[in-house]
Amino acid sequence: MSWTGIKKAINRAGTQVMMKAGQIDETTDKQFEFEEKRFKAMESNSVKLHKELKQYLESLRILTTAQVNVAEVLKTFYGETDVVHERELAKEGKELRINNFSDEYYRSIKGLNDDVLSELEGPYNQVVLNPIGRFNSYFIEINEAIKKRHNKKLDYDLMKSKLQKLIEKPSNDVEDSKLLTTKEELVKSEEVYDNLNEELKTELPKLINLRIPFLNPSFESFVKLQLRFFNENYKSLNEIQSNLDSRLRQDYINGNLESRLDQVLVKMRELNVTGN
Amino acid sequence: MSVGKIKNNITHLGSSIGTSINNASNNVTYSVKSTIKKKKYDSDDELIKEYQEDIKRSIKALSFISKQIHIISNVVLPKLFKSHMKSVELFAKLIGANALQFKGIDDYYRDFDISQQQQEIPMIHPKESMFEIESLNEELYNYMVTIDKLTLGILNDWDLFYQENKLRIIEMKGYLKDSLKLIFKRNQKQDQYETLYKKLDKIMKKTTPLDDKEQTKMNNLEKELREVKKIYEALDERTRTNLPHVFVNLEEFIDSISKILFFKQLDTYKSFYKTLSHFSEYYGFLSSEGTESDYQHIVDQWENSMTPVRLQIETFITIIHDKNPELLNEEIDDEDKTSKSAKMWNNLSRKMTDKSFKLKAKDHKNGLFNGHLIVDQLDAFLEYNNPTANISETYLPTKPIRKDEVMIPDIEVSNVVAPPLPPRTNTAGALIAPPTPRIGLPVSLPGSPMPSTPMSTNYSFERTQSITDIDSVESASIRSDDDDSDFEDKESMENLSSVATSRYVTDNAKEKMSRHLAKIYNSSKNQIKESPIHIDPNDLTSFSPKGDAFDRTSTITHRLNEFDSFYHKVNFVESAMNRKTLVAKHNFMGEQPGDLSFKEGDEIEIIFEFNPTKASSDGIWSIGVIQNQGSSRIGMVPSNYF
Repeated sequence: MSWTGIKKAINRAGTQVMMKAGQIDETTDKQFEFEEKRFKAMESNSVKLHKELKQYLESLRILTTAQVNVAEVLKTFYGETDVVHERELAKEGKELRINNFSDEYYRSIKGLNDDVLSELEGPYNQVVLNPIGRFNSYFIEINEAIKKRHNKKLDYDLMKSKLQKLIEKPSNDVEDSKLLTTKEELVKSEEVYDNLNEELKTELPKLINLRIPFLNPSFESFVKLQLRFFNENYKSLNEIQSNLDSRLRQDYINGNLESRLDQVLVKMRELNVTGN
Repeated sequence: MSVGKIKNNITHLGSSIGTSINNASNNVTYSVKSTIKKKKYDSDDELIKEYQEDIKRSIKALSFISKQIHIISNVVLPKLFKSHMKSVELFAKLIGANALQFKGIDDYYRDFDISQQQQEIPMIHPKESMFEIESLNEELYNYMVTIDKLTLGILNDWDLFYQENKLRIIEMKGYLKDSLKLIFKRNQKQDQYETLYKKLDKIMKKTTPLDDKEQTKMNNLEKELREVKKIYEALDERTRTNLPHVFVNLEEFIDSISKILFFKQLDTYKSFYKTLSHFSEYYGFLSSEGTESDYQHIVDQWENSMTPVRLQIETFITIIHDKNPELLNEEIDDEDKTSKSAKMWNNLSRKMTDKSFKLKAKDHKNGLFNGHLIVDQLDAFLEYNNPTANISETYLPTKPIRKDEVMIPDIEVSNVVAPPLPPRTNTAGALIAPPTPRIGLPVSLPGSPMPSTPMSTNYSFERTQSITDIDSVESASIRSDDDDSDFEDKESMENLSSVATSRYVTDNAKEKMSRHLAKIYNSSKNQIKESPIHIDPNDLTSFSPKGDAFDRTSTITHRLNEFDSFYHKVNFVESAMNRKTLVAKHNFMGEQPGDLSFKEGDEIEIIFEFNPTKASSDGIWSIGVIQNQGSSRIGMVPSNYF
């Protein structure tokens, strides 16, 4: 901030204090205040939204990683991946044969984590995160303009009160000329203030009303992207299901798989390993 | 990430290091001890040691799985849904109904109303100037409701899943720990045995003769050794017999749990997908073909609808335009705009929270269950054409079902060709519905009480015959049982026959038509217990015998109706008698109305045989019933099909 800037800031701070104390009358513009408050509501929500959407993507990532972890352990019960062997097979252009369920399950889940999620990320950034980020970047300029208007308003109010004082006090010649200059300054500062005020008053509603066509496509894309993402997940898992005995699905639905677990536990109990 | 979390992680890290060090030192001392003792390992010991290690790892792995499932069901998923819901809520606050509300907005409305009263020209109320899109509001609202429902369902599902399986895993872990205890006990006894043995050996090896003290010591040692040996052998036996079972059970446990988990995930993704797709379909988010659009398509669509708005904002909002005129040409890309430091922080926190677990089975290639999972290679080759195929009965990746593999089991066409149907001439069926119009001389039918009347046309004669004959069969059977309760019915039948006799079939085409209809009707008739049109014979008598009266009696429906009441009577009358049950040897698709279709192997009760005396190799027609869980089907069956 330049020297004059600092001086201005100090002056304005003084004005504000006097205003609070009731020594200077404050100009109010209800219409502007209304628009400003709406803008502020929009700003805070939009910033929060951006954060939350980022969080959402991160949650998806955490979910898939957790799933990979479980699948990996389940798989390693049946042996670890022979990376060297696989690479050799790939070199020879042979297809890898997967012979057990856990292995395929792990591969599929890992695929979800590695490929499907990263496929989502690009479009997600482009149509959801970045537009809202761009929208949020507009707020910087708007906020600056609002601040400027506020400052100019303070200047204008100060001039007004100065003039008021001069008029109230009995005057002589010297002060007559002062009165004239103050009047001039008042007109100038009023003009500046009015310009800024009017600009904001016309443009804020414009921006606010454009938010719907701007953000709605992002919302729709958000839904669509998720649909796509979950469909891909579903499809790739469903592929494994097609390799499974169809009776197994029925067993799962009937809860037979879970009773199988219980049966195992019963068998273990019957083994009575410790012999007590 | 909170400080607490970090602290947690650090302590966890510390403890895990501690345990691993502990383990290592244990192992070291253990191995040192065993080398000192010069323990002789036989193959069993080695195997048991391997089992022991594997069990230890399995216990850890089970704990890890249980914990991860807990994290998924109680931390990750709720978090995911929460931030999803919050995002949508914020969207709604931004662009939905009553968006951009702020505290004290009503004061402004009131002020506006006051100022409005003083002005002459009415202005637009700020409430009205808020552009809201009704359909969008509804869409957002519905989306929130949809997601809310989905959230509730999935979270409950997972929580239940976790709660149920947590207990199971804990129980399983208990059994595994028991197995470890057993192994430990066995090893302890083994050590004890070996030390005793060595002591004894030492005494025995002494060259000097033993004094009394030594002698008693030796005896005691020998006694002790025998006892320990007995215990050891029992424990050893138990270990050796039980451990393989433990592993088989563990394998089944792991197998089931992975499958349950898999299905759970599948279901979760499915319900996600179905819900979203339902929503998208309703609001027209799907592509024109009704499928979900791919990413490029989504991006294109978004770009088309958003870009003009963006340009509008960046051009016409002068506050923005004057400061950043270059924005106009800057398109929104798919770069990750997160700052580098934020990215690093994310990665770091992910690494801290994400703890993967390696089971590290002894056998890297085959894991814990190598022994049980692979079938004998020869068997596998025979079964799957692949010597390395898996024994798993439920997972068949190498056998995708192709179209040509799907075999629709042939309707067992037995090599024995079904015998020709017996002549129908001697049955009531023939009388009611003759198979073919007989052209030529009237044939006198057996059992016909009435002499055949010469008829002017060839076609009409059977009708008369048939109707009067059915009467005779019926009345005969009724009379034979001295049961006159059906007298009224019988009379009505006679009435009916009199109606029928007064009419002639004059059209050969009609007969053909009715045969065709018979075929169609036969195809499904066995599901039909009653003819759809019930003709009350009494009604028919009062009906003036005009042309269509005969039409009605000549239809298949009518015949079936006749059959129906006829069978009903037979069934009723004959019920008291012993019925024989026969098993069908061939399939028989009914050919004419009143026939009973059956399949090979069906059990059919024969309730009435038409002139059984005439039974020959050709067979005869009988009336059979197929009883089938409360419902029964009745009809004519050829006896030579049994």
